[in-house]
Order: sequence, then C-alpha cells, then structure tokens
Amino acid sequence: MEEQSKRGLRISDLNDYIVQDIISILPIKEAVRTSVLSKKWEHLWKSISKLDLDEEAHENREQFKDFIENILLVFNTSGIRKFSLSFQVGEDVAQVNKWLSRVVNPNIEEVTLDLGKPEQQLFFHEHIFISRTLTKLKLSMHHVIEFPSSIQFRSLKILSMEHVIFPDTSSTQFFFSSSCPSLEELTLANCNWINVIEVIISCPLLQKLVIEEWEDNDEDDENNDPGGCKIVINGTNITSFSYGGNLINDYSLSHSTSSVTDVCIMVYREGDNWETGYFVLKLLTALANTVEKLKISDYAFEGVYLPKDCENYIFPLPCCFGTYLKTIKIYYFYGTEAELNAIKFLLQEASVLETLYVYIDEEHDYDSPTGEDMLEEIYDQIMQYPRASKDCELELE
Amino acid sequence: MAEKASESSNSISLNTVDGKIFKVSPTIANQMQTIQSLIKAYDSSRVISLPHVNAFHLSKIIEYLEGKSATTVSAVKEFEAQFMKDLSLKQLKGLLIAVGYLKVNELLELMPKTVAKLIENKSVEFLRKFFGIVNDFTPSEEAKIREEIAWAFDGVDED
Repeated sequence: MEEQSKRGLRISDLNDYIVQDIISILPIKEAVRTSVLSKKWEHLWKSISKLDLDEEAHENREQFKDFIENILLVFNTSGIRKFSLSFQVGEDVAQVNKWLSRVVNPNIEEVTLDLGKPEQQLFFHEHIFISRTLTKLKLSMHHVIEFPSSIQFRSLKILSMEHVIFPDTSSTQFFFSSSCPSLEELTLANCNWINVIEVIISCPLLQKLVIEEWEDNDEDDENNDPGGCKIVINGTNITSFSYGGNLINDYSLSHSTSSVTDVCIMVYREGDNWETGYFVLKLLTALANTVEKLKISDYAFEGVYLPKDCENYIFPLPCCFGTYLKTIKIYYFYGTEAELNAIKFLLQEASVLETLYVYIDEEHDYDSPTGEDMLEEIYDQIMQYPRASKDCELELE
Repeated sequence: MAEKASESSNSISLNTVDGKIFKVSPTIANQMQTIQSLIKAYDSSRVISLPHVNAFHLSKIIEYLEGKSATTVSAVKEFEAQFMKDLSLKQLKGLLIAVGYLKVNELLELMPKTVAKLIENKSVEFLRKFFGIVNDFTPSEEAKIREEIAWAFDGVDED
C-alpha cells in the first residue's frame, strides 16, 4: 500500500517547477550535467531560479571564468531570483561587470556578492539599486562603493556590507537615511568610513543591527584614524544590537531607540580603559530602559565599572540594571582582582539578575590540577559577594 | 497510520484511492492547495475523492502538518529531520508525487532539499531511474550534448 496505485501519478508527472527546485539546490556543475538525462531535461536546468557561482568549487580561476561564460551563453537569466557570486575579482573588473549586467534582472530577490579586492570600480546594475523586489543584499568587497544618483530599495529587508569603503559624507548619508524604508536587519562588518565625517543611520523598521570593526593588522588602509566617523543610529524598532571591535569609529544610539532587549558588546582597545568604558557606558545608557539580555566582553566591562582604573566613573549606572536585566555574560575572564571587583559591583547593583555567566579565557590554563583549584576558589569568592538579586545563579565555564 | 478524526463538525472528509476516509480540520485541509480549491467547488458535506493519493502518503502529509504546527522553531527542525529520515527512497518518491499533486507548500519547500541531498553525486542512470526518465536521445545525440557541456564534467569520472 506504500506503492502508488496504477491509476496514480508517476514521478515523471511531477510539475517542472518542483523538479527545477530540486535541480537548483544541486551544485551548479551537477545541475548542468542533468542536461544529458533526456531531451526535456536538456533544458530544465537553464531556467532554474537560483544561480550560485563559487570560485572555490572550481579547479582554477580560468576554468571558473570559462564556466560562467559558458553558463551565461545558454541560461535564461531573466528567471533568476536568487543570485550568488563568490570570486576574487582582482583585475577582472570588466568581465564581472558584464556578468552582473547579464544576471541581474528586474525581478531579482536575493543577491550575494563576495568579490574580494576589485582593482577598479564595479558598476552595480540599476536593477540592484532601484529594485521593487530585492529583499536581501549581501555585499563583501574591499573597494569604494559607488552609489548611483538614485537608489531605492523598496523591499530590502536584510542588508549586509563587509569591507565596503563608503565614498563620501553626502551620498553615504543619503543611502542610510532614505534608501531602505523596509530594512529590518543591517550588518556592517569591517566597513571603512574614512571618507565620511558623520552619518545618521535611520531606518524606521530596523530590528537588528550588527556592527563589527576589528583592526586588520595586515592592511595599510589607515582606516583607523583617531577621530573616526561619527555614526548615529536612529531606529525606534531595534530590538537587537551588537557591537564588536576596536572603537575605530564613534557610534551612538539616539534616544528614540527604546526598544532594544538584546545587546552584545565586545570591545578591545589596548591601554585605554577610560575611553572603552565611556564608549560602552554611552551605548548602555542609550539602551538602558529595556535591556533584558546583555553580553559583554571583559575589556568593556572593566572599563565601565572599575573605579580603580577610571577616575571618572561617576556616571549613573544604566537603569536596566535595576529593572529588566536578567542575564549577564562575561567573556575572556582571567580572574584578576580588577575583574573580581567589577563582578562584585555588578552583583550589588543588578537586582533582578537571574544568571551571571562567566566564560574563562581559553588561553588561560585552568585544566592543570592547580588551575582547577583556582577555578573553585574564584567560584567560592564570587559566591560570597553580597547580591542584590538573592536568587541569582552563577555559571563558571 | 491512524485516521485523524476531528470532532469538529466542519471537518473535511477525504477519500484516498485505496478507499480510506480521512477527516481533517479545515486548518490542515487549507494547507493543501488542491484540496482548498476542491472544497470551494464541492458541497461541503460531500466526501472529497483523491484519485491520485493513497492512504499512506496522505497520512504522512497530515502527520507532517500536525507535527509542524504543534512545536517551537528548533523542535520543528528536529521533527522535520526525523520525518524525512524515516522514509525509504520509494516512500520519499511517492510522497513527493502526492505533495506535488496536493500542492502542500510547506512540504514543497522542504522536500526538494531532501531529494537534492539524496541524488547529489549520483550517476546518470541513477537519476534516470529515480525520476522515471526515458532516455530519448540517440547515442550520437547524447554524445553531442556531453561534448557541448564538457566544461561541466571537469573532475568527474562518468559512469
């Protein structure tokens, strides 16, 4: 009875679009190879809606380029909805420009471009920048992005930019204030703001914001000039905020961002605890009223709450510590006296805290016999501190 | 494989090709687009006949739709993985046909991924058999196609 009955349909009766959904999930080389199955299948793969091209899946660069040229000769590009290209563009800018103009069509929905370091300007087709249908755009390239004079991402919900160099203050401001009315998730990873003095990121529907900016020691980009760019974030619907980096630029959240419940801050800046502390505190104060989950690295943590390291610690503690904050996670813990002081202070203040997680730094050798004792000692010591929240649990990992 | 009988008076009766009657809630029925349009066409008290679907496949579809709606996001993922794992190749094929016919959108998103994983790196003969494809190329035509797409056969030992 598990058999399809004689009157039933056969697998060969499957609708083409279902078969094409299956083909589109196969690696592209395999999808092409389905051509040999039959006269009908010879053409099925040419109209799949998802095209995923990755240099890594090919033996060498020239072979990959030939492969794409061959595909584009026969592929029905007007049906592409999801396009992804991962290629170290380098000197082949003209060729990539040609591919993009072939592939990007007025109905495209998702575009992922990982382009390495193009040697010249790439021109993104207007169908990317003026699109009614594009919902997801991920762009990674070590190059200045040239914004066309008119940009309208009407449906864009998810935007991720990595290593992108913003061109100047006015076009960058225009981009982040007027171009993305539907944006819900924004990731800015190691972007370069050196050409921008000040920018307000203003997206009314933004829910999730992730910022990363770690100095790249291999680079001579000079993208870490001391003043940095002043970046103000303005979004009344942001619920999740994450920052990780070396404080290259100056971020602040406007007071209208009162909906954030989930915060992650990872900061490292050598030798300058006061500045680190001020930065984190400024962010926390802006987020203060609603935060329920807070992840923080211990550099940030020391900077803010350590009276010993910082004379100007008189800022009021963000009020979330007394009202909403239920979880605190501390990473890269070494067990120094300064850190323990900070934890003592936190436990005194956070009155609704349910769990405090402390993650020991991996490089720290607590596995040796004496190390284990030390871990126990630290645990005992922390447990002895007075706690504003009586039921708060401690997890040491 | 128990029939899921709903107590609700507006439940919908479905008759499979092997003569089993299933009573399903409108919520479940509406997730099968083909049935949704049949309900509109039929008098609601009548039993809807499904000449192309057998009881095993329909019970699987109902099991999936019920299992999926009942749990949290991570539990759904686990449920889906187990659901697919429990099916033999033959059952998977049959279910795909039923799902395609009934237009169960939820499963039409999930099943291509399962099937693609299964047919990846398989020989031309395996694929022809799996999809019930009759090779209508003459040997010289097939050779010509292979030559034309030789660029997609790099690094492949063809069977």
